[in-house]
Amino acid sequence: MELRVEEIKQKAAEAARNEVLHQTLSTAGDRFVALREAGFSQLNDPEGLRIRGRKVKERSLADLPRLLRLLEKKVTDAGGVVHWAKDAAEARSIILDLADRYGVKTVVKGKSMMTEEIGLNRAFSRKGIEVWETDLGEFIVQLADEIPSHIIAPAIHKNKEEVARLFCEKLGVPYTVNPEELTMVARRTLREKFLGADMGITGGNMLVAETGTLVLFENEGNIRMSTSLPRVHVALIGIEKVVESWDDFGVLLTLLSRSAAGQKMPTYLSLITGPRKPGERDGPEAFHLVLLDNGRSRILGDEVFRESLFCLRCGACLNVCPVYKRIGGHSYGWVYSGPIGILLNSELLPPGSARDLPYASTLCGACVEVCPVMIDHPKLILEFRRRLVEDPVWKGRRVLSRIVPIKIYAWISVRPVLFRFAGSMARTFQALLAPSGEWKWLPKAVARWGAERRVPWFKRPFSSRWKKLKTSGK
Amino acid sequence: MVQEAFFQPLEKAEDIRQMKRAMSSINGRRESRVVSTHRDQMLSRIEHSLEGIEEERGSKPVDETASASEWIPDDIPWGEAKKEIEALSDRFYEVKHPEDMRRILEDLVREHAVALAVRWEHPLLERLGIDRILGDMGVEIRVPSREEDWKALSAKAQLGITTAEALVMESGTLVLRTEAGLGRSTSLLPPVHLAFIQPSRRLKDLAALPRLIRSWANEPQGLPSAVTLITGHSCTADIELTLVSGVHGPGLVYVIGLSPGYDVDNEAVPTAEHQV
Amino acid sequence: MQGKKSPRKVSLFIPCLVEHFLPRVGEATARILTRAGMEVEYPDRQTCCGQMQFKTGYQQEARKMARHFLRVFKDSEAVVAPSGSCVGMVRHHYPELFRDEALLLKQAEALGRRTYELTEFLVDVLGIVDLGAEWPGKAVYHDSCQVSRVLGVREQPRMLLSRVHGLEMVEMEHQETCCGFGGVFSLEFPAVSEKITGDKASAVVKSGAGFMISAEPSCLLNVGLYLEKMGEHVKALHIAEVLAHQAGEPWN
Repeated sequence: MELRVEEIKQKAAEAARNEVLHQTLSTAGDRFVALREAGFSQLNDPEGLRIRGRKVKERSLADLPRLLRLLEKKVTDAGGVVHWAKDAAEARSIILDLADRYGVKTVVKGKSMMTEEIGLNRAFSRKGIEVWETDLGEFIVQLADEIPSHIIAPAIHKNKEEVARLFCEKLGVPYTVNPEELTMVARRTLREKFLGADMGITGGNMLVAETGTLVLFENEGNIRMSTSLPRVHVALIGIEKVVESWDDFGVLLTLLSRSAAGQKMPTYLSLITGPRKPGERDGPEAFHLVLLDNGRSRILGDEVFRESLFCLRCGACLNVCPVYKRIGGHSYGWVYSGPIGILLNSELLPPGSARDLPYASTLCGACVEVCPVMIDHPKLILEFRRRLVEDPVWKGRRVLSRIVPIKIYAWISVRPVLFRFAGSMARTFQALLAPSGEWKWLPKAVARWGAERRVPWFKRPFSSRWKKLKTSGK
Repeated sequence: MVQEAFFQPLEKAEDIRQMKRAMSSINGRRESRVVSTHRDQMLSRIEHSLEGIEEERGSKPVDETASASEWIPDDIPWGEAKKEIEALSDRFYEVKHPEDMRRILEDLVREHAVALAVRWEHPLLERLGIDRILGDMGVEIRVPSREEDWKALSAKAQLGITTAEALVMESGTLVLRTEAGLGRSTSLLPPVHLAFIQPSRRLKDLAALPRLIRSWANEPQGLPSAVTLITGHSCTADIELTLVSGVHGPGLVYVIGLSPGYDVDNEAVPTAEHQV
Repeated sequence: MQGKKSPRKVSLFIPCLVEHFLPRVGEATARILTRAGMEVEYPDRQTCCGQMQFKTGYQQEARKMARHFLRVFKDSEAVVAPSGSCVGMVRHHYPELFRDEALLLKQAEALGRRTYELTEFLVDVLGIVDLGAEWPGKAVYHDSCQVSRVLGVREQPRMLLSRVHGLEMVEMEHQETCCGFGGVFSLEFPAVSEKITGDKASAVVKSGAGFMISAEPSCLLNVGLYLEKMGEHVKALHIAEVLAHQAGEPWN
């Protein structure tokens, strides 16, 4: 995926003016929030479950090498093949190589953020291989030549008129704004592709090392199709998704299902262990599991950022984030968006490249309350901000207009007499710059702040009122 | 534990080795067991990152929500599952007599204009006399024996008929396993999916799943290539959050629960009233 | 956080925003604590807790300011501030800042344990819910993120407000949603911040309240100044001002 993180300020400002986008994201967010609350309220001990979920992730990551080896053995025993890709380029090369070996002309894909991370679709197109996104939202986004804007609802930013127009133009079907009819168009178009495709590519929600099993959640059925109909199934998945046992699976299943859309279970849960066995009439002949690092082992080694690898990709943090709901997924400039997007984009991209991203947060903490594995997003965001200032590896560009006031303020704050003096100086300037109550001049950032707010007035400070207050007896 | 022991379980180690060799030839050119481009480097990088972590490792068996993975007794009513399945906008029927079965199937065939149905090659379906019952209604029912036919026929059929390894009462979830003769496409491609479930195959809640899966994994042949858990029918809300059914998979699921007393081998003989 | 034995002497911790822009909030806080039977003192060498520096990543600077703060309040029995974010800074972030300095870490933790937000001090430590206050009108309470999520203070302000004579509390939509200030956020992403603030202001107006009450000066200024510029008649008030007001007193 192309890197657009540095455009976040500009894109965010544009998106903020888009009231339709905001309405869509707000409505969707509220709905998902309500579903999640309903789903969690059915549990006996939701907080206890979140703690257990976090512990499953902690333990699994602490034991990752052993689990990966166990996983590899089990997948291989079941007749699958395991590949190890250290970065995006390697992953692309492995998958393209497989496509070559199996004579693949058409690929059907389930929704996978990882394939976005590695820019797989573009690599396929360059080789002349046809790739079809099959999740309805992803299909829409692909036809529109855009990128997904929400972890679980990729086309949430598109209204039905836009979809109707898109299908009409790209698929040559009559214009209709009826969602059912539009869905049936997609069903028919993609059914043909499923039946004719040579290779199915998916991501994965979990890997259970105990038996070498890939776990896939969905509601549409496109993942079952992609993993059952073509000759070859390739699954691309991050190394952090491994857990050891089916018991761990049980905990995460409950958390992910309920956090994402308040469901007890997704419509289809596929547990895939190797390719088809002798005698089976359908299913892929070959199963290839590509384990991708792409920076995750680096994050693993980072004491503070490690917990972002716990993410289950449920989307709950997006649904409650006031910033995300104003700026939408595309503003974040890379694969991941919302609070987890700030973390993952900043971590997976070269250190310091996402300089403004950590400031796209009010640190309100709504995300922490809903995260199924209790990731402390604000804490990690603050750490990013610190590194951008203090860490030689991460240092961002120096912004004098930010540094100077901050350092000056800090300097005078440890000198109380100066601090008070500065306060009275400010009031003097105020009298000069705003003699009749209207500010004649303000520093640019403050003036911008004051576009829709009255800029506050320096009053006679509390400290100078105290003596009188004390003696007057209140 | 596969229902009805319909194919000879591979108990002998030698059979399993043969099976693995057969699988490896299916996979085509077999290089080394693992394609390890940077495997060892990756593993050592991970190990290096984890140095100094004092957290406990490995998994802890979760046993406090101890609902047994045992099957619930036959005489427990189907009510909870019925409620769950209907809440998902699907259909659940308990059948006590073959006449009930026939009537339900007649309604289904009529409602969905079923001309062609595909079914699993499964002894329960055979003993229930599905072929005869549906045949009497003018439905062509096929059990594809050749691979090419599975997908093509399932894609053409209006109805796919399977059994289920288990039904989880708490959520109305059907658990299906792929086996020889039990294709994935049957419950996926046709617009309507019908599953039969016996009362001896019911689990109380989702907490039973880990133990169930593990029990299958411990069998000599291990887990099948796919275990599919089906809860409701295919749906999406990707267009303006409007819920639409049947986007890729079936748009409707019928679950027929056989009553404990149901005489599986007694096919309903069509009477004058029930004949189409 | 429960008072073992209620302190007699309380040190006022006046956030910089209150010092310069909302001094009447400081005055109200002092009055309330006095009425509650405390001996109130104001360590006049205090300046600022360093929150802005910390949250913009300038932790070296924040540390210097924190050291000064620790010195100023070293001998205080209890420290009370009319601000959730400042108390959060002291309680949660000071220990992080001094992670590697054992002595200061201990001091910071100890100070954190005796630093309180105003409503939590009144209700949890002093056990006081009724201050005999009066404020006729309809008001809505904004749950500031720093107060509700970071400090876990949600019930205390509501309990106090429920005892105010003549005050009718109403609910608004998205009660707990952030007001969009976020400190440096409002300067880095002003267009977005404005919109979020606008949403909160709309919710306030829609609730039909004549007043918006908050326990956080930054939210107060953010939404209040927005409402003013938009010409709305809803007034933004700090909870201290409401609780300090008694029957017969003049309005400011």
